[in-house]
Amino acid sequence: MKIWKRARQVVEESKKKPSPAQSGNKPATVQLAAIKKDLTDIDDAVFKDFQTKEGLITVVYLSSLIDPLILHKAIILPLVNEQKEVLKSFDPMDGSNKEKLIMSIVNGDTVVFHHEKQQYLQAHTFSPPERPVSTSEMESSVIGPQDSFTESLKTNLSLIKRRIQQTGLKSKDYTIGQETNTKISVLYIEHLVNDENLQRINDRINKLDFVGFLDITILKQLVEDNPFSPFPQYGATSRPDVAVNSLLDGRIVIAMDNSQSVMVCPSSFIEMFNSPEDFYNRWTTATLLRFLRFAGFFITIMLTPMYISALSYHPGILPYELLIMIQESRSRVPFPPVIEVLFIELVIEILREAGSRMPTKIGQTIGIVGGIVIGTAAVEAGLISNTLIVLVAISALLSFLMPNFLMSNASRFVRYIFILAAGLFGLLGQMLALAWLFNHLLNLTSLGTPYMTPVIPRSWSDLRDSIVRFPLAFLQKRTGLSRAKREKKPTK
Amino acid sequence: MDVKKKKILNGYHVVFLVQNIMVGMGLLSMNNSLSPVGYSQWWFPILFGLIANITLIPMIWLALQYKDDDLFDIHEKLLGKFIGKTLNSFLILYSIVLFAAVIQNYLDLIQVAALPQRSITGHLILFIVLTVFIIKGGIKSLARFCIVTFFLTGWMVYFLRWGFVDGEIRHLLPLFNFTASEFWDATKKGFNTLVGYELIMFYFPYIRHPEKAFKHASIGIWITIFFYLAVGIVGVMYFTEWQLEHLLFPVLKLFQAVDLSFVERIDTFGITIWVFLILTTAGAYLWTAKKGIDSVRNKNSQYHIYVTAILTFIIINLPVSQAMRTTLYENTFYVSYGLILWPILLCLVHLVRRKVKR
Amino acid sequence: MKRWFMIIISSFCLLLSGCSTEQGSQPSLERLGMISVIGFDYIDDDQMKMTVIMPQPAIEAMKHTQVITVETDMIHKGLVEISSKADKTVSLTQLRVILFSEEFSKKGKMKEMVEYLYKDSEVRSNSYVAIVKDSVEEVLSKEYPDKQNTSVYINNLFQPRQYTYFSPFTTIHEFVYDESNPLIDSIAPYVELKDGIIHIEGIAVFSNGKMKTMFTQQEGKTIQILRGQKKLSVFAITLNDDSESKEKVALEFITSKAKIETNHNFDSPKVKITMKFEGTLSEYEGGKDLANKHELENLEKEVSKSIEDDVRTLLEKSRDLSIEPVGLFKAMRMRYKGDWPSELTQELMAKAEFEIKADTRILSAGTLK
Repeated sequence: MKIWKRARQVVEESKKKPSPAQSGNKPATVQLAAIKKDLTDIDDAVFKDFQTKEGLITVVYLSSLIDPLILHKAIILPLVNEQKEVLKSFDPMDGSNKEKLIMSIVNGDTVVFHHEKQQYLQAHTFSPPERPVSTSEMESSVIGPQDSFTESLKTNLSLIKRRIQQTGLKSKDYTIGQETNTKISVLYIEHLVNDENLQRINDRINKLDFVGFLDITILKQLVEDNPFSPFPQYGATSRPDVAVNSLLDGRIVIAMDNSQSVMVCPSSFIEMFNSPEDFYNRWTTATLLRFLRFAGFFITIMLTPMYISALSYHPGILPYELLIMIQESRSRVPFPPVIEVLFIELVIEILREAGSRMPTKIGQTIGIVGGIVIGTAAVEAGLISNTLIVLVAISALLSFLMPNFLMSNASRFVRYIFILAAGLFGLLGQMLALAWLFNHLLNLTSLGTPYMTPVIPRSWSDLRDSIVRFPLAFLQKRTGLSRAKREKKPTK
Repeated sequence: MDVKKKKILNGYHVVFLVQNIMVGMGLLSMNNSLSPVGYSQWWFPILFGLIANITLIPMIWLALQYKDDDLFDIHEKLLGKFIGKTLNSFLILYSIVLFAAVIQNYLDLIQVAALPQRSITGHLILFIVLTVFIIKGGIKSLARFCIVTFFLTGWMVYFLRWGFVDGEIRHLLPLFNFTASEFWDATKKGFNTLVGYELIMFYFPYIRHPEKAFKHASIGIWITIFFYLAVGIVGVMYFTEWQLEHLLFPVLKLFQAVDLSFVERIDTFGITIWVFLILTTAGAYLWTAKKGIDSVRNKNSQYHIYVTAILTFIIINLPVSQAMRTTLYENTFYVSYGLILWPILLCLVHLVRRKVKR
Repeated sequence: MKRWFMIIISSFCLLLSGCSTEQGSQPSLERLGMISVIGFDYIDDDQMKMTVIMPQPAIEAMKHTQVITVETDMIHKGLVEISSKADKTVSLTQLRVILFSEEFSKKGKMKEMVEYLYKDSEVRSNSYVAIVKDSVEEVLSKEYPDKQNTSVYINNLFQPRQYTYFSPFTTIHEFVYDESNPLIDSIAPYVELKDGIIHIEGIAVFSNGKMKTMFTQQEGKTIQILRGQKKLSVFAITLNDDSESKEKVALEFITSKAKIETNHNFDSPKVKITMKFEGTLSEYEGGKDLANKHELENLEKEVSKSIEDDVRTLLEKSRDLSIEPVGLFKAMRMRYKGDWPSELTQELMAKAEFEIKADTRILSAGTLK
């Protein structure tokens, strides 16, 4: 919370300072030399003079941000051919504001200076190298649209706007980051979004005080309600269909330049287990899968701790055949169960980290080395019991079930709390940890809305789209989570 | 945090608050504390439910007269500042002792049944810290926790199935096979399974629809009674009178009867998951104590929670003999009977004062 | 504030977990000697011989179970002594079967032993109780060459199976239940070591915590039917055993229903027992033509008659021994004011008049004609 206060102070202070442009009576036009001075040592800055009928013209741009072909077509050709009234096709600029002039050059625009009229003109030529729209790798699905967001804000906006074709869809631009000047766009549907939520997110964005934004996840962490929680409080997606679905529910979607995913707020715990495919599948399949993922979260944090509890505190809970089996597999293991579990869990984490940092081909080798060599050899050497290998493998697999990557990471972290608790107090420790987890989740909010929304119901109809996904005909109401202005979806 | 006593509790919050604060250690030993009346005990929960519902009327009526005040404020308004504050101090002491009693009874059981080789200090600290966490969010946080608790523990009723199948349904008759003194004995010991609903007098000002509070609290009481009735019936069917009298925690034996292929000793599982029910009960008393200190010191401060928690930790670790401790805790439970009946007196005082004013 | 608490908590967790592993106060599973079977032999009124079986987890071990016998007067004292003999901490959490020798159950403190185990929170209340004819020690320490693991073998033996419904498979809860119930006397399976294997011989019947007598398998079946067993897998009867027209009948997949009614008259109690059986005929040896409807009906009647006789003999025998393993007067208790004294059951049993009616229906006579 302190961050907000500090940020607010900064904003207020900056407001007090009088801006230099306002101080003079009649602002003088900035000299080209001044711009040149600012752009020294930027070797891709280009200053080109053209002698036309209307007088001497200087064109200023950064060549790295502009596709030469576009520059040629839009500016150089018309100027060289001395087309009539060519200058009128450019936007006039306020020549007295040097900062703005420099900004637009840095942004990739081309600034045209007309020496005789002492006038600045601007042409939008920003055309950095972009990759084409491809299928989503993070959230791939079998059915449903396959396109995904790219790193370009423009492309992302177009992907969203072509799905919602109406003027109600608003996109408000902000520039954030003291040094990076990153552009973000806040999208919402005006007649649906909750004004309070919108106000809140606007306030938080205005109060931001951070140097650089490299990805939307950084923004997400900075505007979250509880920055100390291991759980992501806002949704993230790289699929335009998911983003649009949230917009239609009255949520706010924030897209950022250079970021491949967009952020959805508010969002709830249960939604972290929803996959976009749920709405394309039949409701029975969707329900089954959702249940699997949701149960998977609790099994993955409970399974290996259960092993510890059963082995070191409550041997009575094991059925007889299982007892004999585990006793046999444990008979040569020299460590207590806690150490054994921590050891193998860490090995799994290491494998995962190593595998994900490696190029794909080497990654496969690491998988084989990890899976076969470490697994089999460790069991044969008697370092760990083979029962545990099975359990750890299952819980590692289950943690991948969650469609939200950050949630899956959170489950990995929470599992260690449970392991320690089980090592301390057995089942009681696990239950205490579970109580802590629930208390924490219950007290979390996402943009002021309780994170565990269907448990703390905002409206009862939310339950129809929680763990059980009802057939779409039942999902008429917008979720209570988003507190949309119009609750019911329009019917004929 | 709730300086102005904001109306934050919805109807369902009230239902689950009432319900979960009531269920605690009492249920584990209910069959035992009702054993003086033998097999006829199974319908006693219904009787208790009626008593609870009747005693709820003066509580709600009084609270409705002072919509923005909890019992502490009502004391000061009705009985004057000095008497009110003295009384409130006793109430604070009462809640702290009950908080300690609830925790210690549970942890003692844990030590006997689940973690025999551990001293209770470790989990005592964790337990108290967790309660503090819950209460730091105020009464609404507790109410939310109650909802989760209900869904996490309520399904355990299913475990009674095995006891039901093995049991002898003919134990349910005769209905009135006891003497008056046995009846009195059972009521005295058994009614403390229901203690907890009287705390509504303390969180009443936070309820959003006070006029509906009686209905919601009654629903809460009867949900509890349903669970008690289920345990009562199955316990009577599954045990003989001798067993009811000699087993301290019959519910655990009922859990042991569960026969599942993949996990055994459901009782271990049962008492550890019981921690949720204990957390809600203990949390409610901690919250009451905190509110009491707030009211006596005329100051809202989160530090009151920490002070209370540390005090409780000290009380539990005091070098007092077990017998003395047990007497203290038992008598405190009887004090809560007094607290349940207390509003009737306050109602009278209220009426008299109103007459005098006119 | 919150994060300070978080930091304190997590540091506590770390510190305390360090303690837990260093102290090693809680041995993990493989360092525990899990007693799965415990047996008691009679020495004299004070002393008893206690034998336990623990599974040996090590794969390299030649024997898969460890048997230890000590002489003691209390269970826990015995456990301490066993611990000193074994290389592990012994624990009762996985106790499955409790065996008593016949001598012990007739003379000793069997009731106290079972109650003690019942009250111990470590012991599960669905461990099985059984009576061994001779020495328990012999049963437990004997090697069963075709069984890999004695403890698994004994444990499996006492699991209820399809063809052993005649045996009650009494758990300690049921034993204590029957013992503390004034209306019924407890029963337990009775086993004997015969030709190198353990054999369930019949049912031991108790009265006031002491074994009174042993009932055969056939009588055991009858008791189980009267106690309300719903499914019987096989029911074999020999009709007219001594005469010329000897018949052998075996029924399969039987559903049985026994109803006991009493007249609620304490001076001249009348007990009416109605039983219904439905099953398929699986084996028949005799002179009747089963394709004939009337002859089949006759057979049904004869079977019913035979069951009725069995029940009557059992009840008469119980009356003579003044025991009550069935619980005939449960319905009478439902209208009895005050505590039911156990003498009353004996009194009623002595005076009772029985009216027994069985009704058998053969659903099909098999696939062969």
